[in-house]
Amino acid sequence: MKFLIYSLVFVAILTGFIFLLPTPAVENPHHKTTIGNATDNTFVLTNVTVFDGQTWHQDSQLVINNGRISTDAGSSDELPRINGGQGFVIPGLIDAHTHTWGNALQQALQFGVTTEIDMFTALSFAQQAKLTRHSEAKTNQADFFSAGTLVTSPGGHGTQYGFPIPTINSVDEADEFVQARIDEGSDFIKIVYNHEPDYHGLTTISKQTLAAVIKASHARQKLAVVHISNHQSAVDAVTAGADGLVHTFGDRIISDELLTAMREKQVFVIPTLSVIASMAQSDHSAALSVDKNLTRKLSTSMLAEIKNGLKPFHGLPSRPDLLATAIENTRIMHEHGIIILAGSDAPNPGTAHGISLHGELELLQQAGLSPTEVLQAAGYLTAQAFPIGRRGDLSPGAKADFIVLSADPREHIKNTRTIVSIWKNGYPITSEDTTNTDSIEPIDEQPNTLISHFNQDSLKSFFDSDYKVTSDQMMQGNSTAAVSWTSNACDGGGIAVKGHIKSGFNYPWSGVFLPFSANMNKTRSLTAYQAIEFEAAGDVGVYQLMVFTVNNMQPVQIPFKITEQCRLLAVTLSDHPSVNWDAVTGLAWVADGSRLKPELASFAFSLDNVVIR
Amino acid sequence: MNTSANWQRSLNIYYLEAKTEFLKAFRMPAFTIPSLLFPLMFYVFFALIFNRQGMNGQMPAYMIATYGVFGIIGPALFGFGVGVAIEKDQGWLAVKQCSPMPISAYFMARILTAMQFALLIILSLFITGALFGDVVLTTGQWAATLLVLLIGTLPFCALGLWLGLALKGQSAPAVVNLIYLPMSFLSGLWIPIELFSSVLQSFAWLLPPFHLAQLVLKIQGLDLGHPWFIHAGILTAMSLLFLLLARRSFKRISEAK
Amino acid sequence: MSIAAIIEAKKVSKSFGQFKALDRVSLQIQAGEILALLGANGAGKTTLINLLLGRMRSDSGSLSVLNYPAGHIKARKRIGTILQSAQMPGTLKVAEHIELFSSYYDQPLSLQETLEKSQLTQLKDKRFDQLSGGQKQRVFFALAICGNPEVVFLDEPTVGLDVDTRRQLWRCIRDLKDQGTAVLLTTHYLEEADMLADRIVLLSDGRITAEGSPEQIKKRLGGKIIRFKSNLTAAHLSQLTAVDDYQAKGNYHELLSQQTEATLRSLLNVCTDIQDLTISQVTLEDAFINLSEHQTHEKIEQEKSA
Repeated sequence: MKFLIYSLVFVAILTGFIFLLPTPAVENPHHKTTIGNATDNTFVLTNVTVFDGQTWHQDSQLVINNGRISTDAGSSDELPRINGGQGFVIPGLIDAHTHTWGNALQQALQFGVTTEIDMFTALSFAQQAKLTRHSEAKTNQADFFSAGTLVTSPGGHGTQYGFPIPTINSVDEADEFVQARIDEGSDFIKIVYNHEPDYHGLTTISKQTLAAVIKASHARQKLAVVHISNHQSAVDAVTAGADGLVHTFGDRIISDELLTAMREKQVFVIPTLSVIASMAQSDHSAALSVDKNLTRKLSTSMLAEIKNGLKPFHGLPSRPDLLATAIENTRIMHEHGIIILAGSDAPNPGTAHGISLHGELELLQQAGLSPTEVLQAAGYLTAQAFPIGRRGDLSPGAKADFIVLSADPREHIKNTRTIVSIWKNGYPITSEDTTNTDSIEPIDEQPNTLISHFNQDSLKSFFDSDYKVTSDQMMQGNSTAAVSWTSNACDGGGIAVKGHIKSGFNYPWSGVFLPFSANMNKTRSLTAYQAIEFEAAGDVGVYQLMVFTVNNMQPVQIPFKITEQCRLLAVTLSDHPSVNWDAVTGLAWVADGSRLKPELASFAFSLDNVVIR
Repeated sequence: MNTSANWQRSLNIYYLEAKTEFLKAFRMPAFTIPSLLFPLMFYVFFALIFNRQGMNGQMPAYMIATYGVFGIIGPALFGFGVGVAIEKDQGWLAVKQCSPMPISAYFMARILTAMQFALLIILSLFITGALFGDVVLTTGQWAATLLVLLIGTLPFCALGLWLGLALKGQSAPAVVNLIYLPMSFLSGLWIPIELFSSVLQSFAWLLPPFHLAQLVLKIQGLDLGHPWFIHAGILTAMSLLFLLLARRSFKRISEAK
Repeated sequence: MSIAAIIEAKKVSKSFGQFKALDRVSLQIQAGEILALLGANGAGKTTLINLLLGRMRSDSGSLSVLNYPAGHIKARKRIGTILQSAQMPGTLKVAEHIELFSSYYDQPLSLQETLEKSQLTQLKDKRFDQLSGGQKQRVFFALAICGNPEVVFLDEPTVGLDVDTRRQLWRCIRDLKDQGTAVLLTTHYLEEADMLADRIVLLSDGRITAEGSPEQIKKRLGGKIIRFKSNLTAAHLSQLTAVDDYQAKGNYHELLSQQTEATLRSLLNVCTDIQDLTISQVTLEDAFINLSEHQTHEKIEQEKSA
C-alpha cells in the first residue's frame, strides 16, 4: 500500500513539474507585431537598416505616409515614431510565378509576399482578386496580377485541371485570342509551348502559333511570357520573341547560342527552381516546413495544409541531376547578365504560397546570386520586368509594402525568414490563421430561409436536386465517399458522409455535394442572402466548404472545423468577396488533401440543418 | 494462501528488487556520473553554447529531443548490457536463477531502474532547456516528450539484454560504448539528421535511436515527416528481434555449462 | 527404509561432448542428513549439483528434489544454495541482500535470525565489497538459509578460506543440521567432509567410487602426512618404519603413513636436524594424486611386462 501511495505522490509531483515548464505565451493578435502598434498608415519607422530595392541604408529610417513611402525631409518629426529595434527592412517580396485561388493571397502575405504574379487561374477569381491591388486600404491579402487564362492548344497543358478554358487552334486565331484575353483583363499574356507535339499526353501549340501570339501581344503592348520545360522549347520561345521564360530547364546545360540570344533580346527567366526541386524529388521543400521561423505562427491546421502542399510530386523518380542542371543553367544565365526573377510556381506539389518563395530565394542564392541580388529578383527587378507599378521598391512614392527582419539578409538569404513584422499598405499584418476557420463560427440565431432539415429519410435539397457524393474521381483521383440519410445527425435526421482520401489527383477531395440544380446547369444568385449555415459533427479536422460558381470548375474553398460535438457553423457571404455569389452552381462539404496521411485518410461526419438565409 | 496476500507478496518482491537494483546502480559512480552528466553536458555544449542559433534558433528545443534520446539509451544499454554481462560472469545471475525469484522481477527491476535514470536525465534536460535555452513547448508537448522517452527506453533495454547475455563481462563496457556512441551519432542525436548526406540518412533507418528521435521530434513537428506508426512499428519489430536474440544467447549460456 | 528421500538421483549420466562428466550416478539424501560429495576438481561434483538445481538437463536417469523434478519452482522455494565461486553485487549492504532474497520465499526467517545464524549481525550495514572472503561466504550462506529451506546445496562452500573462517562456516552448517535441515555439500577436503558429514559419497571421474560414513571412508583413504625439513636424503627416509610413500615438496619432505606413531618414532631416532615438523590428515587431493600415480605406475608396469 505504502508503495502505491508513494507512486501516486511521485506521479503527482511529476505532473506538477511538467505544468511548471514554460509554455508559449497565449497568442494575442494585438501583441503579435513586436514593434509598434500603429493603427494608422502614417508614421516613421526608426532605428532600422533599409534596403530600398537598389541600395542599402545603414541605420536609417523609413517615412510612411498614407500607405506610401515618403521623403525623409519635412515634418517627419511630428509623425508617430515606431522603433524598429535595429531590424532590417526589405521591400515586400514578389512571387513572379504562382497559380492563385482560394486563400492563397492571405497565406502569401503571412510570409511577407506582398504581391503575387499569377500565371493562370480561373477567370472569376482573377477578376475579383485584382480589384484591390492599387488600394492603400488595410488588407489581409497580397496584391494580385495575373495572366488570366493562359494560351494553350486544345488538350494542351492547362486544360487538364477540369474546368473548361478557351484554347487556340491555329495561327489565324492569334490576334483574336490575345485580344479576348486582354478584354478579360489579363495583365500580360502567358503561353504554353513545347517543341515536341506530344508531351506526356499533352498537345501544344505550333511554333508558328507561338510566334503569332507573341506578335499579337506585342502589338497590344502586352508582355508575352512562355512556359517551357526544356532547352529546345526555350530556343524556340526566344526565337519567337518571348519577353520572358517562366521556367528554366534541366534537360541540358544551356547552349551558347541560346545564351547569346537571350542576352541580346533581354529575355528574363523565372527559374522556379522550387517546383523543379519537387519534380526532382529533392527534400528541399520539406526543410521549409520544419523551419520554425516560418511556421511558428501558423495554426496546426494551416501547418498541416502547408506540409501537405510541400510534399514533392507524387510518383516521380528521384532526379538530382535535373535540379543540379537547372541550378547550373540559372547560374550561367545570371553570370551572363540575364535577368533572373524569383517565382515558386505555388501551389504545385512541393510548393505552397508564400513559404515556398523563401525556399526559392535560398535556391537562387545557391545558383550564385548574392543575397542582395536575390532580394532584387524577388522585388525590384520583377517590377521592372512586369507591368506591376512601383513594387519591390522603398523609395519615396512606392507602396509601403515591407518586411522587418531581425537578422541581416545580406549575411544569408535565409535570414528573410527571421520576420519580425510584415507591413502591407503601411499597416502591420497580424499573423492570424489564414485558413480563417474563425470565419465560420458557431452562431446562436436560428435560420429562416432555404432549409434542409433532413427529417424524412431523404436526401432532397431545398432546390430541385439531391445531396450526392462528390470526389476527385471525376479528375481521375482515387478518393471515395458514401452519402446516406441517417437518423443520428445533430438534430435527428441528417446526412451521413463517410469517405476515404487517397492520392491520385493533385488536390484530392471527397464528400457530399449539393448541386443547385439537377444537372448543374442552372446558377442561383445568393446575393440576397447573408450566410450559409449548417450543423456538423464527426471526425475532428479541417474540412472545406466548396462553392462552385458558373464557368469555374475550380471552386472556392472555405475551410471549417468539425469536432465531435455538434456545432452550428456559419459562413458570412460578404467575408468571401472572391466568390461570385451571383452565379453559384453548387456547394460541397468535403475532406481534402490535408487528410492524405494514412491515419487521417478515413473520415466520417454528419451534416444537418443546411440553411441559406 | 489467499490471492490478495499472494499478490501483495509478489508486489513486495518487485518493489524490493527494483529498490535494490536502483541502489546498486546509484552507488556506482562510474555508472551514475557519466549516465546523468554526459547527456546534459553535451546538451549544454552543442545546443546552448556552440549552436544556439542553429536551425533558426530551434536548436535548444530540437536537442531536448535528441539528447533526451541519447540520455535514456545510456542507462538502458549499460544497465542491461554491462550489468547483466557482469552478473552473468560473476555467477550472480545463476544464484538468482536457483532461487525462487521470478525472472520477470529481475528484468522489471532493471527496466524500472533504467527508466528512473532516464527520468532524472530527461528532467535535468527539461530544466536546463527551459532555464537557459528559452525552450518553450506546450504542456502537452512537454508531457508527451517525457512519456515517449520513458517508453522509448524499452527497445534499448531489449538491445542491452541481448548484449549483456552475449558479451563477456570484461569486454561488455567497451563493446557497449562502441555501439552506443557511433549509433547515437549516426542516428542524428548529436547533429540534426537533416544535415547528413542522403546515404547516411538512409543508413539511419537501420538504427533504433533514429526512430525514437523521430517520434520525439514529431511532438514538436521537427521530424522528417514520416508517419509516427512507421517509426513505432520499426522500433517494436527491432525490440522483438533483440528479445529473440537474447533468448538464443540465454539458451546458449545455460547449455554451455 | 520408509522415510522418503529428500533428494534422489537415479542412474544419472551427463556428457559434455566426448567428456563423460557423470556416469550412472545414484544417490539419496534423507531429511536432516548431511551428505558430503567428495572428489577432486573435475570429478563431477558441480555437474551433479547443477543437475539437481535444474541448471542443466541430464542425458539419462532421473532426478528429484523434494518429490519435484529438479529445478521446479516449488522445489526452489524450499531449497537454499551456495554456488561455487559466485560474486554478488558489491555496492549493496548485507542486510539489503538478505532482505531482498528473503522476499522470494513464502516463509522466510526474519532478518535478525538469518543474521544470527550466519554470524553476520555485526556486519549487516557493511557493503558486500567491504567484506573479507570468509565474511562474503557467510553472506552467501545467509542467502542460502534465509528462506528457511528444507535442504541446502553447498558447492565448495569453504574453498579458498583460511582455517579460522572455514571453522566459523562449519559451525553454521552444523547448526543447520541440528535444526533438521538436509545438506548436500561438495568439497575436496576430506577433513571438511569428516567434520560435517553423516555420509560421504566419493566421486571420481564421474563415477561413485566409495560411499559410507566418514570413518569408513577415512579408513579407505587412511593415513597421515608427516612434513618437515631435514638434510637427510630420500633414500634414507624411505627406509623408515611403515612409510607408504615419500615425496619431496620443495625444501620439505613428506612421508605418508598409515601408522603415524611408529613412523614418527623412527624418524625422530634417525633424524637429528629436523625442523618445521607438521602432521596432517591426508587430503583428498593427496589421496587422489596418490591413487592416480599408483594407477600410472601400474599401467607402465603392465606395458613393460607386455
